[in-house]
Amino acid sequence: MATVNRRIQAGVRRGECFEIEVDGERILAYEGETIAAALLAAGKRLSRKTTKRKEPRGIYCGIGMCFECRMIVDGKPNTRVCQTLATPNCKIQTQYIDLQGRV
Amino acid sequence: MNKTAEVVVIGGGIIGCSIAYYLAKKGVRVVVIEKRDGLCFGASGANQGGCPVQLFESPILELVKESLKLYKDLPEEIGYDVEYQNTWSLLCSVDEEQYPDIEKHAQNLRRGGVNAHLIEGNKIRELEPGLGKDVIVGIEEQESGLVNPFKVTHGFAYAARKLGTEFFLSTEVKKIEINKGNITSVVTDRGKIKTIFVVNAAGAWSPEIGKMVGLTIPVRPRRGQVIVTEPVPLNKRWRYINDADYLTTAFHAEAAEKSKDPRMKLGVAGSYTQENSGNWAIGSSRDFAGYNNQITMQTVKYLAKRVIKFMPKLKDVNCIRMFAGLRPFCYVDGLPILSKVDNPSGFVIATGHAGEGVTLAPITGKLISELLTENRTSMPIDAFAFSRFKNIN
Amino acid sequence: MKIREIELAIIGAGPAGICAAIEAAKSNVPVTVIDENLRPGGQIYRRLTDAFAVTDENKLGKDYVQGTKLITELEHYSSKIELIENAPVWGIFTDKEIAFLHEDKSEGLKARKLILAEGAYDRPMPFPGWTLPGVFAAGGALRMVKIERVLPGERLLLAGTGPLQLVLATQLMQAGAEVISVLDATSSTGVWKYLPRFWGQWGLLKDGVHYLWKLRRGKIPYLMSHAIVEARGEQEVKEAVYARVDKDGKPIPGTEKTVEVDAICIGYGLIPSTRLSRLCGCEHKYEPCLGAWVPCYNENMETSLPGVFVAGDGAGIAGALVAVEEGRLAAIEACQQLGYITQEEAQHRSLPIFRKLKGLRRFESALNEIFSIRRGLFTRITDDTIVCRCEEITAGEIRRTIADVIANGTIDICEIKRLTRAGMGNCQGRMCESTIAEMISIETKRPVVEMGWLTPRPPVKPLPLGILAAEDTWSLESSPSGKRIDWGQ
Repeated sequence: MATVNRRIQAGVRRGECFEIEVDGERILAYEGETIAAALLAAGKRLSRKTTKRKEPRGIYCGIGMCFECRMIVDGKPNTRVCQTLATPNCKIQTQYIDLQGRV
Repeated sequence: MNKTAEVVVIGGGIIGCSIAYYLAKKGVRVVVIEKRDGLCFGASGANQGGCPVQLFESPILELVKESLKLYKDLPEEIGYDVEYQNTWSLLCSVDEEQYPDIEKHAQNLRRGGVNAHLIEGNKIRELEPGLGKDVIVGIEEQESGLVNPFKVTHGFAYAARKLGTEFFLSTEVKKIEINKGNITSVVTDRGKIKTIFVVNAAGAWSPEIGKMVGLTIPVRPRRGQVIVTEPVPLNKRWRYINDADYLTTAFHAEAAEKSKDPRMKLGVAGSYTQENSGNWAIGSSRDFAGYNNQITMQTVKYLAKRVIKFMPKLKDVNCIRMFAGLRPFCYVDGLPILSKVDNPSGFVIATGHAGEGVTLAPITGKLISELLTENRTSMPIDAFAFSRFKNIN
Repeated sequence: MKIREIELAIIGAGPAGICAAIEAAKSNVPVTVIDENLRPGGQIYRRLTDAFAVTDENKLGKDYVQGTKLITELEHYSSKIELIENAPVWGIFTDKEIAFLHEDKSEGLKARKLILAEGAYDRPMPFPGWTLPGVFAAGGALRMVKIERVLPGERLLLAGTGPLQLVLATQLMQAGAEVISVLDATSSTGVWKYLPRFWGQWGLLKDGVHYLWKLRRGKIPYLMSHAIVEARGEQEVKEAVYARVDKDGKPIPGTEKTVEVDAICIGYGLIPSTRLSRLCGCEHKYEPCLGAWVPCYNENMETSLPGVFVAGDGAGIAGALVAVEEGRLAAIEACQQLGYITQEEAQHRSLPIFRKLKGLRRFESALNEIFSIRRGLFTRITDDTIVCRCEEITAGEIRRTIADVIANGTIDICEIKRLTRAGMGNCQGRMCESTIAEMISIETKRPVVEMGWLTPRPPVKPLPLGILAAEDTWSLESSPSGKRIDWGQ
């Protein structure tokens, strides 16, 4: 499990804690957190590689406008993780899909 | 502005720019006038870029085949990539009762010299898992194409400019001056152009130009709506898929309108093109709403319903954009108008492409340039003559 | 399925939307607020998830405390206000018929009066490397820190213009992150000219001083006339290069410094979100110091479309305090037009608001002018810099296409979009439109206002085909989408 934990403790008390899976690795998430928050808390920033130039992208605008944070969540590609809540044992994968559909 | 030109082309769409190029190629000094702030602001900029051989019959089919030949060599000829590509295309049906019609259409295509063959539903799904279980039978051929209409238009403009054509954008034609039955000049809101030849390539707005010379051009805007999706992996075999109902809604509008099915009433029949980037453009529809080029809720709902019948997996894909365009539809017989007129002399009409404008752009340019410079065309265009509208003027 | 008809619809539950709703509720006008987020508050006053227990509001920042007051008032009127959350509006048809997504269905509402309170978003300002993971928009980073309570990085550089950066820096510092520096491309010379416009806004000035003082105490350098010029890294950002800039924002060669970072936050101010106001067909005007199009409105916040109002940052960037007042104004006028209150009462309630707004707007417009985007910042964009993030279009491709199109005689931003595909991606131009307009203006030496804008089309938010196709999707009998026909016929 990742040892990085960038959660800010001051001012809040979090609720239930559970595990989610990111590219095969188990990390922590808390009830009410978006997947983006859980990823950033674990120091993970890469969300996808672009289709044409295969460049790395990550969370950028944080408010669902830029579509950079798209990942494959429970098999569903193009899911904006800044808009999606983490759920226990959800499977998240960095999105590398080229035009031929190859992952 | 105070100029002289050998030919004035009114309309900066794909047809106008093509005509300008083919004329310029023959050494003609052309001026193109366009009322909007750029090219492709009409139907040329609101279509799916499809060049479907499989949807046409005579007399259009002959023109289509010639036009696609021109498209193949166009990039090298004009030095501009128009992104034309041949693609396997499928015309298919989700209605058992249409089976005989599909067979007949395949025969017609073959008679027209197209290498089209029938494929059964199971084989279709084997070749393309994305197509749903409702697809019963289809016709495929590899002669259709997909092209980037913006690049085609700008490419023609670029090549025409290199050969001396002048473009006047944001310029509106106000009057066409005639003396003793001959055109003498075109008056715009930015000045006058002396000329004896005018080509009316104003698409859905061609009737307005026709009125300026006392002609009733039987064209009316026929709106078509399109939904665009986010990119998805490219189809394995067919990136151009048409619904058999297209043949009804496009070419037998009266039958479609009489139908009890609300979808048919809106003229919605599938026409699906997948761009290189992976986005699906989902058409097609037909309705008459004047010059209103906005999308309507009902039509887009039926467009979405219909595509899911053909490609069920698309139901989870996001639509990111919708648009509508106005085809210049000839309400007498639905065929283009490519023709000189008796009066005034020097007035040429090149419009009425309501579903085949992108496909026929190269051949239209070539034929009109021949009509103007040699007074004869390399292919028969009697079916598209203005004189066929006997009781209109 | 017949569309539900309502008296007043408000799109957006940020400060403007909430105050508009409260004002309407006070007048007993049935009001529906539609908001795309899970909880109200917009960006600035968003509530934390219910799953987190707030133990000390003050640790969450001044804005959070302010927001709590507003949300409490909203809850007080909850029996009179219908709040539809998690409901992105995807289209508006014939100016007051609203299509939105809710619980996996596409629903519709027909309103007699409509208030658009769409808010704003971070202005995208490209520079080499800005697409690397670890480079965040300041607003997004602030949201992470305030609402999700997560640090986007441990060693951060902040770069941009304007006061939002100060808020972010303070929050990051208090949360234990190392903020290397806050860069502001603005030059401090000439700011004194604006001081008279700050007169009377002691609360706002105090806030500004408070943030600057906090940075001082935390020993975080606040460098004016500095801008980031490059973000470097392979899979994520590892280094930032910044330089001094001249008064036009152009980086001065030879002044570059490189620092190791694990995150960069870019904050060049906000752009009003005008997708819906454009879609309706409201008239807009170009605001040069914002570098953005804003809807036109009268003193009662009514747009060029009768019965359609705008309020808040979606009408022009002026912050939360202006947003709440504009929301109130818009609602009062709407209530009066609906016949629930008399003209006299409307005037009586609006008068103090007008007075309040005068000073506030003067202050905010001064800020906008001081921190306006300098042209020189666009010289950072090399040909290889990505401008359209969605479609991966570089500045070089766009510049080549601009040159090609200008040769035809005129140029419009739509043509650049169609030929390069920039603006055709998922975000439908939100991240690249302002940059492309500036680039065309720079290449053609014509003012940005002449470049036009990208024609908005529905859906304004992504809409799954299956939901659009569903039997119970509300659909109108052939009603066109809101925008007026753009052909002079």
